[in-house]
Amino acid sequence: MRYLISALILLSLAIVGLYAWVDRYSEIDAIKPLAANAFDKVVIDKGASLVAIGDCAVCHTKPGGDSLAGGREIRTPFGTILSTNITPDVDTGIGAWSLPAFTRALREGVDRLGGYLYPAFPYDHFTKVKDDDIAAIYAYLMTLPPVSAPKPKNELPFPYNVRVLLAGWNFLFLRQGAYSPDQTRNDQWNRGAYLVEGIGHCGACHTPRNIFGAERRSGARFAGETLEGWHAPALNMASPAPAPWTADAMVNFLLDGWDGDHGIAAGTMTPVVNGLGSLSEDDAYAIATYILSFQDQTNVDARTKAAKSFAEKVDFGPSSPAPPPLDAASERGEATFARVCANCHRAGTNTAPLALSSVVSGPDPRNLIHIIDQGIEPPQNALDHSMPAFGRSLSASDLADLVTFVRSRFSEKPAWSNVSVLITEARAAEQ
Amino acid sequence: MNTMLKKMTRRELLATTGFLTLTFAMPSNLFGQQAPEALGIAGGSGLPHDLKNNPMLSAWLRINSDGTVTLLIGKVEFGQGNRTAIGQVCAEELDVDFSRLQIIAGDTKLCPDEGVTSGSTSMPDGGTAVQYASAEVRGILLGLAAEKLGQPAETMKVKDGTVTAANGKTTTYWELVVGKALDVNATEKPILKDPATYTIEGTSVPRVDIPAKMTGGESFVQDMHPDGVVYGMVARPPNYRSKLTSIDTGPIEKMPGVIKVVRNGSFLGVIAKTKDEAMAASAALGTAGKWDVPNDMIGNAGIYDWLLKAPSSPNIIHDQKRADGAAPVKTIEATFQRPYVMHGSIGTSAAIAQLGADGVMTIHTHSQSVWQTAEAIAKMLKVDTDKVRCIHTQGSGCYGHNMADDAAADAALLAAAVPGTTVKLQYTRAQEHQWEPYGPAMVIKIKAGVDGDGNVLDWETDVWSTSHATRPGGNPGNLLSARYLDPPFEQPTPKEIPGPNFGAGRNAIPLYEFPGQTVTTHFVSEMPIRVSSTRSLGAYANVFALESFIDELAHDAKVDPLEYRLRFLKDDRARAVLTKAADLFGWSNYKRKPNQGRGIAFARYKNYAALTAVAIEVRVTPRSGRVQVLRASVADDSGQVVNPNGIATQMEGAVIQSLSWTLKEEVRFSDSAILSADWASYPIITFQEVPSIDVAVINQPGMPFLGTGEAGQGPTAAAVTNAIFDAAGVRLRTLPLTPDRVKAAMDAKKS
Amino acid sequence: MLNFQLNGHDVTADAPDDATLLWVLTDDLKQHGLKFGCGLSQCGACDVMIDGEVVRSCQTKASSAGGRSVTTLSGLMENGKASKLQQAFIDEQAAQCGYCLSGMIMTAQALIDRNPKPTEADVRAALNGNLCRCGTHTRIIRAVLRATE
Repeated sequence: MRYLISALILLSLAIVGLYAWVDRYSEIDAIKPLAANAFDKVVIDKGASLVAIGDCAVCHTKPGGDSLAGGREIRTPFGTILSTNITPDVDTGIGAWSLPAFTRALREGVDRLGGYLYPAFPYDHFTKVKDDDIAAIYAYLMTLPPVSAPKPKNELPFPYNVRVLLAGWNFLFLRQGAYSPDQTRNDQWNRGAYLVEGIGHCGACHTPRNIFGAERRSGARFAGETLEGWHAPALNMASPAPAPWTADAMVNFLLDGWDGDHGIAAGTMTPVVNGLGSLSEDDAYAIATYILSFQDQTNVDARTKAAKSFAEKVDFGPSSPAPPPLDAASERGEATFARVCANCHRAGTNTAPLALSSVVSGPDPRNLIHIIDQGIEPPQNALDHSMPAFGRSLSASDLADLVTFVRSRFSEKPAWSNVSVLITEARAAEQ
Repeated sequence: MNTMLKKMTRRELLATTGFLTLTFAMPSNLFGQQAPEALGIAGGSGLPHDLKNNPMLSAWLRINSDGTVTLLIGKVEFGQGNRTAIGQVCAEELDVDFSRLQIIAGDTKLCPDEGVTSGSTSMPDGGTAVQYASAEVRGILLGLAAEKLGQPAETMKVKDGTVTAANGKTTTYWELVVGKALDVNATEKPILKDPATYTIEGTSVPRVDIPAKMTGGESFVQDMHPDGVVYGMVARPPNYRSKLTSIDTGPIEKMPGVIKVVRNGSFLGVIAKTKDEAMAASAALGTAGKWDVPNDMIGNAGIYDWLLKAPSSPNIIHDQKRADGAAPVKTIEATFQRPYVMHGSIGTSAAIAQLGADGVMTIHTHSQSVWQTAEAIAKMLKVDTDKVRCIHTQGSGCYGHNMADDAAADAALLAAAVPGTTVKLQYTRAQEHQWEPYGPAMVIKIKAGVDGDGNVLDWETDVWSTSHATRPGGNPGNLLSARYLDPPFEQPTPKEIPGPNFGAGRNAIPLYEFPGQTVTTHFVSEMPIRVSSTRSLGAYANVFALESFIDELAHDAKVDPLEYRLRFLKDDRARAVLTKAADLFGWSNYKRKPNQGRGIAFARYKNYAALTAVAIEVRVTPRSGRVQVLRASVADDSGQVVNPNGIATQMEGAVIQSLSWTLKEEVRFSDSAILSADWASYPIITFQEVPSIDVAVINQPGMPFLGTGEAGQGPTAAAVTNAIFDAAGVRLRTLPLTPDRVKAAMDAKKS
Repeated sequence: MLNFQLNGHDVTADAPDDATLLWVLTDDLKQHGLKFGCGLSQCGACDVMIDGEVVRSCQTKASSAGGRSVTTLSGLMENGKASKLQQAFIDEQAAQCGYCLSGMIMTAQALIDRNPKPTEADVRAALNGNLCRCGTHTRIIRAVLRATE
């Protein structure tokens, strides 16, 4: 309901006196197909890397479909949006788009014909990308093999299907223009900020959204958000990581998808990490520097030591005396854990301690539920880490007991309250 | 009697083949490995080893009236594809279509005793024996045809068993063989085919065992479910030297489904109606006893010091004095260390045994040494050798002497307690991981004196190792459980296998033509950790050491490592293999990227078998020390090629498994227990770590089969180590090359 | 008594609810296309599908299959012949000992069911939890890609 109200507010904003402004976008002329050698190889390669870092293929590729040919369902609180074909097919893709048209889409959220795009496409971030980087992305996309893939219609109810109301959204939330460095910060931080706020669009998942579906500002920045059933953990002061993130650990996580003090990237973060494979180590450290500037960086060593000593204390293994289980559910969960999980999640194995995992210590049990149910197909650089799926091996109540036990045993945070409901939801969504 | 056992009886075989003459097992080469001269068979001196031991032709081949050919062999399949390849040799020399073959392998009652299927000898020994036997049988058949058709044998042509005389008259093998025509001994002079005319050998005939494995057919001893089968499990002691002091088996006997608890000394086993019940009972059995547990193990970190200090017998296996007396301008030396590694079969070992009314213990086993294991089990059971029949049935790949024989012995111990009942036994993962005989830890020291141009003048290798060979060999003391019986069978003190190229000394002698060479093995007979033959025995560590050290010398001489090797490698086939791998890799026009590097290595397995070179490219991440292997290029010369795709598969497998050993694997143990108890505590290579691999298979028409299975282990280890040096500038000499070790070396270099 | 569908047929197994699904399928129902490898969910040799999703049958209780549809390796066959995926494995000769392959093929089939055109990276990631000791990985990858061409 609150979303509906927000939409109506936008709609009225759009109607009342803004018509001229709303309607100011006109069609940009179609271009003729470009010659194969229209772009420099170095520029194309740079574009390929930016497209990977920007995870364009994650949203613009449907499961089993051609890369970047669109058609993937993006579920939002407002309804389901289908991504567009961004291969250079003239009729169904961006083959007729000039660089100015492409730049306008990234900067202003408007397509070649002058129509508003939905902010599920994060142009509020891409607007910060520099001209030469946009040109490189364009060069890469325009030299891909064209794929003919007409875009199916979005499944958006009224009033969200009235595109002009996005003019109001843009008026309120879009700050157009390339990133301008913060002169009070060093180059590394500014490089990180450019990547995170621009092409990387980290906040699109990690920052909570307001009732208009726009990222919240100031203190809520990177405070964590749940979308598509997964919880993107907080990257700010509220980071749930038991051992504080360090630049090294974050670079390991971003580039390898794995850090021994944090564990493995999973769920919706997996393709992100795969995309970051082409990121240079310098850029990865820049991102870490920028993100860490939002986090509590005091007493890192002491807090790390405390987290590790807790992890050692509660580790599941023959040598460690188990703390008594809290209740009957935990006790049943412990039996399942001992039978199924402790074979790998114990001292002396190649797993990261559960007690160091944000999945276990986070505010939301959904990630843990998904991981147990679906297992982990690792990011490409995580090499030898993976986990089988147990969704069909555990009943909903087995799973609830297990999740309850894992939280109580391996985290010092309070118990999750809504485990059973979320399991039902998660399993219904997977069907 | 269950269907499976019944299917394999002698009577049924008789029924299909019409006649049967059994050969008597001749004493076979204990370790299944041939001296170099035995490989020169195709040159034409004497009978092939396995045929000499089993000369009766009908022991190998039956020509059946239904148009099929039964080939009986003693070399057994465990995934290396030898059944298909040996079949190809048979079909080729006999001139029948491959599809006519029925192959029976490794049945101690039916097949020729070819000793142990080990040492990459399936083709050199088994293949050559079948080649000669088949050619000779073909000759006999042509003689019979000549008689029947009244035409000279020399003018006969054969196509798929149909013999056509010059006058156009025809007959077939299936019509010709009646009676005991093949009950004759092989002679030394069969007429072998000209390799130029081969139509089956040299082609990639699809493996006969693969379709069933892909579609859920019964393939493995683990798949067998004979009617009325019950399930046996053992319960192992807390560690190697523990002794059971007391146990109350009463409560376990009352557990659901338990048929019998077997206790004999410190050996504990249980038989139950279902596998779940057997596993539950054996778990209970494992904790029910009171044990005397000595905590006297060394711990894996201290094993290298222990090896150097333990009593050992130095044995100079190679001593070549340099003629001139010029003093080296420089002496370079290095020490290399290799930990215990596991065979690590994906399927835990299993066996099915039944004590029949005739007093014969029949065992389905995936042992590599069915005859000698049968003999050891017979002695353990204190019965005559002919009262134990082992029937080889495929198991999970073993890569050497794993627990297959122990499973056969344990199944027999349990089956002996319930005569007439079929007992199936399969170990738990921890039982396999903690009790298998590992590939032994080794220390290798190499010292070279070089001249001003970096040429080696004197070369010394010293190798320290415990035994690489504790196969049953007819001795019950080599069966794990037999050592815990009352009275126990003592494990025989292992002896160094004589000769320069067998156990610890395998490939310790450089093939490079250095003027002065001394190679010494220091054989340690004590075995703090259970060990035995593991794919390539000492060659893996020795080639790792030698081919790493060659790279160190090349680097010191500031010469390209490929060029440096070719400087001292005179053998044409060796040079060809090395050059081929380099070409395949693109060695000469290699473009280095940051943190990436390349390495190459070569070995001739056992110094007389297959020649293999491996070139590898890696990326090393300085931040983590992690090594990613990007690609491998392999060239292999295994002599006459029988199945090119089979050789390629074996080489790919060798590269991948060796990378796993080299980058990841080390058995860990404390003073009281083996800590590597499963795949989480002993990780092996996974899909995302496996490089792309190109293999060039070099054919040598008419040359002896050299065998392939083990040849890639050593070169791969050295190639990846050399590539890490090239990428990161650090020389690692202790395996495995874990990220921590690489990072520590890189950090140390920086500071 | 436990009722479920096995490879499209209704079956009844005389096994307690807490029996291990692996042993019920192999020992009671004579299925060969799944293997005991570790009993710890670490290797994948025992992989089968329940309602189209892969499970490690070595640590799945038989009751989890109750009323559901279980598919083993032989259940992938079509009209008594190797399926496209199985045939691709045969054509690539993607086996050495073959012990791990039942699980490999089941896991690969599940991947193809949800992603009919996987990339090589997709295949590697999907199979990463299935262990092979012989070193047949590169052929297995080729076989899966061949089946999805």
